[in-house]
Amino acid sequence: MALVAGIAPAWAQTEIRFTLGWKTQGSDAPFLMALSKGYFAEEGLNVTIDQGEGSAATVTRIMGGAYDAGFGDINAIIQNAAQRPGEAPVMVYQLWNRPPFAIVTPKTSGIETPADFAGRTLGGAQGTPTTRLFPVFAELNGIDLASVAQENMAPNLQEPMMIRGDIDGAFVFTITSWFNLIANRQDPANDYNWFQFEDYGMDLYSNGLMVSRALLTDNPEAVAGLVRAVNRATLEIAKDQDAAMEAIMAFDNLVDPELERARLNFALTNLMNAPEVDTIGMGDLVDERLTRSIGIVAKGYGLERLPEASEIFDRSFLPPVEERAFAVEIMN
Amino acid sequence: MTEANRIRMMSFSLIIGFFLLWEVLCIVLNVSDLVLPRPSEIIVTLWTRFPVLWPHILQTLYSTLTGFVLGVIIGVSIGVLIGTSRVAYGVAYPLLVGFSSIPKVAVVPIFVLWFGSGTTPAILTAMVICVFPIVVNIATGLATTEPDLEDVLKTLGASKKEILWNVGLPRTMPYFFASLKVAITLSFVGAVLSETVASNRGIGNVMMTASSNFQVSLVFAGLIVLALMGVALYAFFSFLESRVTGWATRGNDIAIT
Amino acid sequence: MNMTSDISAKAMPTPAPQPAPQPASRSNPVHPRPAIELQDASVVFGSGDKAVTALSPTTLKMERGDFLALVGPSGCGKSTILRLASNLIQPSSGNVLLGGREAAAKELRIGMAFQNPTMLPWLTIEKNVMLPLKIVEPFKRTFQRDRKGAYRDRVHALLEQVGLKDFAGHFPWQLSGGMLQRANLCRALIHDPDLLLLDEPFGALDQFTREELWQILQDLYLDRKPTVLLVTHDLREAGFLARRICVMSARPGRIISDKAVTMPQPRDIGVIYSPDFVEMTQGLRELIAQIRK
Repeated sequence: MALVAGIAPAWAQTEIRFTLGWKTQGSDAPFLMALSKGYFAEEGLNVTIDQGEGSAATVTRIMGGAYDAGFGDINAIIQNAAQRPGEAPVMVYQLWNRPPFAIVTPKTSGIETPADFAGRTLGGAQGTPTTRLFPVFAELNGIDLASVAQENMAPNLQEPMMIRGDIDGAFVFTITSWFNLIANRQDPANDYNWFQFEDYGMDLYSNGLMVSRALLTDNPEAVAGLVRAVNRATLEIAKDQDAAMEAIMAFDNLVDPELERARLNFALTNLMNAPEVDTIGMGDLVDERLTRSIGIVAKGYGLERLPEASEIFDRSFLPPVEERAFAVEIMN
Repeated sequence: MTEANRIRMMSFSLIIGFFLLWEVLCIVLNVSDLVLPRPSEIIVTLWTRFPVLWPHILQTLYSTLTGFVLGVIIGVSIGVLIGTSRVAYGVAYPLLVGFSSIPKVAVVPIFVLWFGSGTTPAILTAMVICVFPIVVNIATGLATTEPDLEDVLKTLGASKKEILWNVGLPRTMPYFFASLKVAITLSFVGAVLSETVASNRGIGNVMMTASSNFQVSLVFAGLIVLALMGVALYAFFSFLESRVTGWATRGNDIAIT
Repeated sequence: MNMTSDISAKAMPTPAPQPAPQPASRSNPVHPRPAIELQDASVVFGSGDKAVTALSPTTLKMERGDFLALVGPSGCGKSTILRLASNLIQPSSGNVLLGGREAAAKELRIGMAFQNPTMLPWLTIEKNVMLPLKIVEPFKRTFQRDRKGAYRDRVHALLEQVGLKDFAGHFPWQLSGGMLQRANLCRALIHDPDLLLLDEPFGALDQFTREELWQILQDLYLDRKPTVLLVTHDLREAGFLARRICVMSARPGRIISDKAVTMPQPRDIGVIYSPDFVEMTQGLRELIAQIRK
């Protein structure tokens, strides 16, 4: 389908307030490139992007009305949809097919299997999906939850405390923690064990582009435009990380370009790329798997009702699958 | 050398000494730069990254000053109201105290929820945090205006407004300017606080970003910048105070007989 | 101003006071309505058991251009009478009439000087003295236009009369007590008041300064002829300046003596040492001593 010809005049553009999932990261490239290269503008959208407070906070920010769209966690949508049906935002373009949720432990603590967690201390930030879903992880893997001590701490302190030995492991996001360990002069590949939730029975979906109910109802053309622009940028960054980094630095000149480039590559390789994506194309997901995730989340968060998959994800704005062919080529 | 200059030199030496001690201790105790960077490192970071930091400094200044100006306008209005009316004083004071007791850290997320991240919550936080000292000082200044001063105009048949304008307000200026020093510092704190929670720009944001990427040297560079900005703002208003209300502190000088 | 000092107070008839020349713009009539009149006015502070009578019901009349000194022991209510006249307080009973009307009337111009000169510390002496012109009609109306011109000249002329010409641009903290009190007098007179109320204005000053200021005040009085009510504890001050002296009893005060001072004006400062003067003040002193027992 041909893109809208030309750029809509300023007065005709729709204002969209967009929130990221955290401080600027390499993995935000799809949105920042769509902004800096004018893809949003071509769709008649005047998008302002703000840094975020967390992938779950994106959902609350949109529900609060201050934002129309954002990059955030589908599991937070599930949680809010259960408690407030009809109010939670809707995912319209799934980006991270594989979840970043993991428990990381230093090899020196001697934890090799989930059973070894018993009697140890793990640290996590309150409210993050990894921390909250641990009970489900424990149940699926035969761990006595009561035997694991959990300590509460700010996300920034997890790696330092783990290095110091104050905790035996931490509930983290792989994409964040991997690089935090490097910044702390650690070797995440060789000195640490990663228990990724997807390997232990929890193949949840994760971050993607979500929009508010209001935008969905009042201005579906804008949603379609958002999706088209983000799709275009996503396919491009898979091949052209240089352009991606340009867009990132244009948005926030404080970040470390090398670090964020590594993080972008990590996201492309470990979170966005998957056999499933080869089949259904970038942006889509499999309903049956989503329904299973809803079950897992409901269990972990103690939700009273199971939302329908259709409440969580709306694929009607996705371009045809031929136009969503995702092929990662990491540049050197 | 004059006494004043001597004191300045000693103050300067103390500051230099502090940084030297820091540097030496870090080297001697082999402190990791992830925990506490050395001043020399911080200075290098500050120097090399200054062009990047500059727009953020301006952003923080802008939020601080805007919030401050708004806070002054509101503070003076409320202060005049409750300083001149016993009724208003009794009615409004408990509520004011209640509001001011709320730690502003708790208020920032609410502002962000209402207005989104960025400049608006920063200005609002800066404004809200500095209103109370101004209100209190103005109200106190007005309420404690010496009756003798007011009598001078009262015997002439001046209206309440005329007395307020000619006696009350000028009389209150020393209190007002004293409160400005406090208010500008608080505004500054409020703006930075908001930036650390939710913003794309500003020194508070710089520190949060640097912190989450473990660029500890940059965090400290941000701290130094904040300290310098705070001192500069305070000094400016201190200077302003001495210029405008010199009459209030001059009474001790020797008079002509 | 320099009459010989051996003119006996008893021998000479009292020169009749001349009515003050009335500027054309004034609305007050020239015929002799009492400038101040207290009709059984009393002042009581507090109520019930805690009631304190500051002033017993008192009747007092002052004609235009008169100069009356009120003397009496501390707390006898002399300042209270002044405050009634200046409209700073209301009588608890009785009436206070100024220019024949209830004291609330604003048309009678009042100038007041307290013991504490109370200059506004943020204004120069010139601006302080000019202050009444900002508040009082008809000067108020043209204040913006005249403050740099006609009013400024007026202020400087008055300051010169009291010897403060060179200090117009100074601030109050730079002047001594005596100088501030001189400025205070100027401020009390700048707007041509009908009524000048003075509450122990020279009480805080040393004898030399006081004598200097008596003479200045006498000059200003004879020049402009306002009605003056002077409250003082200094009998010589009363005798030197006033045409009439009222003695008040102790609290609750009432007027127990009201006598004219017959010495002609202007009086030379040396007159305070003349036998007649001394006799007069001694008589007052005895009267007050009796009250205080």
